[in-house]
Amino acid sequence: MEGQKENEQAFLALVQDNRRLIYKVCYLYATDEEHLKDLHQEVLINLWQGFKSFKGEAKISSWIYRVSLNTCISFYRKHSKITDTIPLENLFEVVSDDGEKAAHLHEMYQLISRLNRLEKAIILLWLDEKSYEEIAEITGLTRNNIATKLKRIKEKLNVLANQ
Amino acid sequence: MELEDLKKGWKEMDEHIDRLKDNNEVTQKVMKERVLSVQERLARRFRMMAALCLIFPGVMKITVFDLEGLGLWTKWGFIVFFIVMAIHKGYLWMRLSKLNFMQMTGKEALISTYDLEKFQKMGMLVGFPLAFLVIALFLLDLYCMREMYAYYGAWCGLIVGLFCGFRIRKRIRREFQQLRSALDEELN
Repeated sequence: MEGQKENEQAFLALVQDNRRLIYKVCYLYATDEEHLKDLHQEVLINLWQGFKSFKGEAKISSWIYRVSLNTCISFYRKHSKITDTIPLENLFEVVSDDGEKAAHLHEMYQLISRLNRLEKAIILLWLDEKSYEEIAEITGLTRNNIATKLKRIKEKLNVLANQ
Repeated sequence: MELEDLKKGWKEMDEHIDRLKDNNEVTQKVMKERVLSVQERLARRFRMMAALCLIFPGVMKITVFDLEGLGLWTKWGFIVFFIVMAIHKGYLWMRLSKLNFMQMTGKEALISTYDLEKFQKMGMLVGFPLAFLVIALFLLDLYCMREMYAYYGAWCGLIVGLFCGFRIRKRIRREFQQLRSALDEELN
């Protein structure tokens, strides 16, 4: 009983400490507010299930990236009914009081949302300043492959930005 | 937008995330209520379908198979159909249960997702013609049994089923092709 409580406290602390990371991953893969909530919950479920058996074999942030990305990449979403849900790019306007910043984030989200699932994972890890080796380890691609893909993603984003 | 702007925007997201209200309600719920993931729910659904497909021939043996006039081919057709569906659902259940996001890489997760989707669609591509064949055999038996009302009713069902089946099959084949090229595009 005590052990279980300690486990829960430790998990809560872990989620709080890595809150930004988890939300960013979910934001990148979600299409609207409902989808974001679903993804967020799903990531937490998988993290909790893995937490009990996690023995510190890898860096905690790498482990959280891995689980969160894999969850978002594999997430199966039934076609939901159209509801009054906020499209994700508008969510930033709702929470921001700085119009310019919100527009900035809106544009960033618009660009990244047009990438495919693996590209999103790579660009997310690059934006979080992970090394090529770390990105390769989490995604399962080779270092050279990551370098090539990043170059292509940057070109793709430039083209999309200029459209 | 330049890439440096992208990085700047990415850092700005932290401010917005910090402003989001999160009182750990979801985390508490996940820990206390043993919430099932989508993957687990899907796996359970496939397990249940596999079990039903295995039980159904037994139920049919007791109820329908003793009908006089029902051909041997029809009976075997039903049994084969349900066994094939049971194997299909059972395989999907096992594959889903084995997905371990803690150990997999992103590439492995992506490939597994595509493989599962493809196998699901393959099941429908195989299931439709098999179902059509069984129903056609059943129609023949109904005709031989001179059960004309049931016979005409079954014809209506077959025509509607054929029409829907062809449309769904055409869509699935297209999605199947798209899946393959989407995976190639993601990995290369």
